Amino acid sequence: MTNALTVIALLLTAVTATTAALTREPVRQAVVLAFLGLCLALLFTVLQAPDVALSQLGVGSAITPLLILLTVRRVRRQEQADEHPDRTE
Amino acid sequence: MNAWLIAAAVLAACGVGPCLLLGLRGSPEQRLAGLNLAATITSVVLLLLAQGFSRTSYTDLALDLAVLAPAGTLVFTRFLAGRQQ
Amino acid sequence: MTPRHTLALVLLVAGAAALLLAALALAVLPGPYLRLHALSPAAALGAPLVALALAVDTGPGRAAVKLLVIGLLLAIGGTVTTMAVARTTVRAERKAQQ
Repeated sequence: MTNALTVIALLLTAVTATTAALTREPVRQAVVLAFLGLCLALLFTVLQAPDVALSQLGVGSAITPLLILLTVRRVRRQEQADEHPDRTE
Repeated sequence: MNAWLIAAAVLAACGVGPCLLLGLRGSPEQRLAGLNLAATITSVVLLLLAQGFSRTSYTDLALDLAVLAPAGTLVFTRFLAGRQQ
Repeated sequence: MTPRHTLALVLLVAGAAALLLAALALAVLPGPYLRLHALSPAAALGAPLVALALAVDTGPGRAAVKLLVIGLLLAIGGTVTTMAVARTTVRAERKAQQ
């Protein structure tokens, strides 16, 4: 039973991590990274490492998206201040 | 091998899977809806794993996620609302 | 098999069915507004039912109270975030229509 759980968690993590690497837009990538945090926490719990899963939950579901979104907001605001609307990509 | 672990495996496979289907493509708002449901289902799976492994201390993981997931989602909605104005 | 375990299993099956139905609805229902309807039943019905099943299985004591508190937290947090996501979706759809 534990083997089946490990395989499921590994598959979820593999799919999510591949998508995180293939997503280009930062905001969407932040959501995918939050997903990846959930899947990794599941994997660590199945592998009997609850302390790692605890920190992964904190980092993955709150801190990583917050940092990425703050960076995106700062960069976009600077681009608007520079008045280069064609560079907002 | 007990009912709790079986329920956890079924929920992890058939519950989080459809959320990934929606959450890994589409607009940011749609991904957020998928992320919300995935967080709820994941914390339930963590609760079931704690009972299945009969380690009561593992319930701290679900408690942690139940507190942190709304915070993360509210960060996202706040950012998206600020971007739309 | 004591009646308490039977009750716990029934509650577990009901909660898991609610969660699976919500996940299926999220994947199947068309359009951004209809999909939002999948979020609140999972948080307000599925998660507390499973937490109640675990509490019944654990028996009276501090552990059961903790499980119930986690179920309550999941229900409250899920409801709040559902409203926030719905508000963001409405704004995005209105902006897309303009």
